[in-house]
Amino acid sequence: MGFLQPWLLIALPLAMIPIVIHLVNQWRYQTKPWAAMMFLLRAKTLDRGFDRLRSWLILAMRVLAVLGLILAASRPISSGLMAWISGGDIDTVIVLVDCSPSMLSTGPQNNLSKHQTALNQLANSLAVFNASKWVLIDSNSLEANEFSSSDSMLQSPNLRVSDAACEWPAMIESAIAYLDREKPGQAQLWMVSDLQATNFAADSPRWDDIRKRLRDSKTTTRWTSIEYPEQPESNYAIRVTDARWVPTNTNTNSSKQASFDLLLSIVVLNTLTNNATESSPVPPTVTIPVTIAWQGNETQVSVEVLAGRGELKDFRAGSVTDMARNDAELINDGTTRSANQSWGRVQLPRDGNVADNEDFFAVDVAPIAKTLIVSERIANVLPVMIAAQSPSEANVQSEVNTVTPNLFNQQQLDGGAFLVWQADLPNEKSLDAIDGFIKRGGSVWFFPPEVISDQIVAPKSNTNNDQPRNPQATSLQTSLRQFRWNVWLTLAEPISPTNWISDTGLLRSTQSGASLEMGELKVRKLATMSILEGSNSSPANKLKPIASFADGRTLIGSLNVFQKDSDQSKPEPMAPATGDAMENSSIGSTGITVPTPSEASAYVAGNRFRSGQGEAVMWGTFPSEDYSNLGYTSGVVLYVAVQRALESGLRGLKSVVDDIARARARNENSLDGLTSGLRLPPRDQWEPLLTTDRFLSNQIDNHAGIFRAGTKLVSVHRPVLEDDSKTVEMADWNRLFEGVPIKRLSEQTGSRNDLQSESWRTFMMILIVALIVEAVMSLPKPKN
Amino acid sequence: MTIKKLIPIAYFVAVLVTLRQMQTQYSFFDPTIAARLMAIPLVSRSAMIGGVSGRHTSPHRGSSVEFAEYRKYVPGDDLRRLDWRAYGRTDRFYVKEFEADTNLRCILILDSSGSMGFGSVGMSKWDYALRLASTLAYLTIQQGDAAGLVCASNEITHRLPPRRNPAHLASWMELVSQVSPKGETHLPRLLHELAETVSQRAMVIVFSDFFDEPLLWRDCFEHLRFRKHDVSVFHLMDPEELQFDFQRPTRFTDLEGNASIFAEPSDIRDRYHIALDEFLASLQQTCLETRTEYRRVSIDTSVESTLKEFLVARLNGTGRQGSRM
Repeated sequence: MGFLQPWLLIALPLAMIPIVIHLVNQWRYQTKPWAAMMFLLRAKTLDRGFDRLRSWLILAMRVLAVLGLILAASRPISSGLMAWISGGDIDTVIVLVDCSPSMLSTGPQNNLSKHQTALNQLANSLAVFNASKWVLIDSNSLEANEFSSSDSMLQSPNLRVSDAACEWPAMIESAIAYLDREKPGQAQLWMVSDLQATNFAADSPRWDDIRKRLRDSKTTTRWTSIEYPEQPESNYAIRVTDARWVPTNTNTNSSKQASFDLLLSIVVLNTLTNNATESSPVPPTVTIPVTIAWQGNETQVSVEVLAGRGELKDFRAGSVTDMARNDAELINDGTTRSANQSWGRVQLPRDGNVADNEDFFAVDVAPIAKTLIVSERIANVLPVMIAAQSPSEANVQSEVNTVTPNLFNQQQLDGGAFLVWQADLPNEKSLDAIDGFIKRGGSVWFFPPEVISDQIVAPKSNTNNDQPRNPQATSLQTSLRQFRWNVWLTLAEPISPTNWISDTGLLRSTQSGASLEMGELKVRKLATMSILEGSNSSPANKLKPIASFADGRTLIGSLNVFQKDSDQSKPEPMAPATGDAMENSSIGSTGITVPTPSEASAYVAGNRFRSGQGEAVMWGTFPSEDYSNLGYTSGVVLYVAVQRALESGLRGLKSVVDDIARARARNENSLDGLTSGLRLPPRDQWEPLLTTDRFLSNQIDNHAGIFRAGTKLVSVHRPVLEDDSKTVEMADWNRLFEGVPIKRLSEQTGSRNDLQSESWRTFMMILIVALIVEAVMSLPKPKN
Repeated sequence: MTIKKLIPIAYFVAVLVTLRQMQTQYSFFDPTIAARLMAIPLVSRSAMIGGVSGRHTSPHRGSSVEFAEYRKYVPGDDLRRLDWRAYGRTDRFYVKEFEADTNLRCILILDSSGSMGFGSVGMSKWDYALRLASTLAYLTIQQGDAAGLVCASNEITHRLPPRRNPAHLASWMELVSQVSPKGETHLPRLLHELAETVSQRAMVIVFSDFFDEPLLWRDCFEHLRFRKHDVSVFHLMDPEELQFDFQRPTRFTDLEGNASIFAEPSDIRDRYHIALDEFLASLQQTCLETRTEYRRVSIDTSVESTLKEFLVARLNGTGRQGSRM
């Protein structure tokens, strides 16, 4: 047992006060000549056990009360483990360990990390248990691994801190699953965490199920939470938000060579400001030296961190003079490794957490934004072509080709990012090509033909007889086969769309939160569209409105997103929704958008991290003057949509992609998995090029760094939310573990003591009990 | 004025002088109380055998004016006592008998053990006993009865046989004034001795705190009653002994020995009262069963009221048990 305020223990002799008073009282006795001695002698013989003890008990209670008061004031910390030992035999000890980067935080007074402190304390404390099974559930594997002893468990390589976030709901689910499967007689469950709020995801609906399963569990489980909420004195996190080549000087002598500058955008965050309250003082402005290591050279640059945030925008980190200009063209087919790929890291000086002191970047020459327009008459989609010829980023070269439908062939889609189809729906052969284009990440827009024929792409019978080659292709092709343009409507008065999805997709609001001015869009002619209902229709095959009118007719619809049918049940914030689902999304009619968490993370990480997801968008009008003002007064909307389609299509062409540690392994369709939708080799085939010191090859999913995955470079980063040091609120904790008798031990980072918990309540309870007993025993007996 | 008329006056003057002298000589005797109580005679509950005529009933027939009974004549009876009128009416010989009034002999037994020296109200139990006994002795002698004295602790220390002449009162007072309470109590044994040595029936009044086993007292009282004595006891208790309301830790030293007991009064009070109540109830029950008049007296009550109650109760009947607390 230790004490947080041990100097108060010098008052311990005060516990003798009742004894001293008693002795003084005894010493001050009076002598009385007495006649009726026989009654005193008789009274002595009548002395009963309790009466004899009564005075001593009262004295003991008084001593105990003073002792309890002094000890409680000294804030005793006792080994929480000891309190558990008396609980009987333990079959299984399950240890859940947070191995996220935040666990490498050190305490304010020492250099020992939370993670190492936890392992030390666990090693000391678990040694006294005689459990038959030792089960480790770490945040890296999220799986229950059995060990024969606590030592072997604590030496598991899975316990090394990685760059992946800790998912407490998943870990607890894994523990519950283990308990349900193994059904131990009596189990102890230890949770080791730093109480990082983002790790607990208190708003996740999974907790409802967890609580229900815990209530239903028949295993007697004692829960102990070992917590290290202490924050370091100072901690800064660095993150690369953008890295790209920028051509600086065209070499006229050789058309094949060019000079490029490496531009880096870096954000440095004071992670402790996330935990600050309104009353907290604004952190002072500091200058942080940032080291950029790239191609064997190190460059140091100072970043001024103001109010907890510092940003370096398009910092020219270096240049290359003899780079192949057309290298980007060579890799546009995605099969050739680019010679211009490069990578590096940015680092901060050592501070309270070394895990967030570095980040990685990989760059390559941006691919050419190729757009292919297949149109009956180019005038119908002329504004689209103009917009496609004007890329929003200066370093992106654009190229637009036009072709009539009858001259369209598959080769024209090679290296393309964006396909505009204004004609009758493609035939079966063209459909295969478009399908491959979308699978690669390309964007496709369909505009109606000038004259809508009463004919669908393929007979229904063909659809029913076709056996799907793969689910993704089947979904798209089936959708296109069942899609049809109905009829051109000439509207008496131009109408504007009233509902559109503004939180994601083509018409999402800008990064500043401003909504696109869809209300200014006037449609004079509208081609209605529909999906034929068939026996094999699925939710994926339905037309999902992106923008629609008040009467429910669709102006812009999404036919399909590039994903598996099996994942359709999952919430898809990026996917346009229909019906009720659409109402749940942020609707742009009010011009107010609520960024989703994925949008927020993308904002910090930079839009370039967003991966492409193939999409077929159906437009119900032309951007020409007779049909709508889409190409004129509402040209901004069209331009933004085109740029977004181009950006989406280019993602699949880039040879450098970004990812979040373990996001791809955990959920391929998660937005955090920035490489989702890309055809990358399995992780175990990735080649680590640049990693952290903590890298383990058998845990490649969980570590940040630069990896070569086939022809592409993957820059894996730690999750953005790991930089948020805010701890879970007490109310949230109580809600999450409502009904679970969990013992919480708040430990100090760097402590070398056994697991301890403040036990002043025990002593206060002793004090209260002693006072009550003393009062009851001192009550005068009722007189007869 | 003849000398014969002067005799009562002289007697009255002599009494006043005697009282005055006693008041000045013996602080324990209050003549005013005695003077007020003289109006109430001390009567015996049972027949007494005295040497002279008195106001107390004798077991023998005598020559008083109070008719007792007719008895058949038997040879040897004095013919002067034949009731000729009865013979005339019934033609039988009857002897008319009258009650015989005699004096009593009152033996006042004072417990002079050390425990009687305890007192918390300005006087000790011994002082209180002296006041009671001296007043009773005075009243006894003044009504023509004999008063004796026995002071006993571990033995009979002082003894004065009953006499009825007024001069004996001075001796009585003088003797008792020389006694101080000390020593252990062996009163039960001494009462047995007295029961054996006092041959004629007498009024025996015991003044004591009776701090001994109740069973012993039962034997004593039964013994005395067996010897035809009219036994009364004044059980003297100090208020502190009854209440035991000490607050501070106290070392109680025995007045009759060297023993001492250290006690926290608050701890022992309840059990003390239990023991005391058991003793008092037992003693009272013993007296009731042995037809001993029992009077428990707290020494903070007035002597006059205690004696008045005692005398009146005897005057009204055979006396009763009571207490003055």
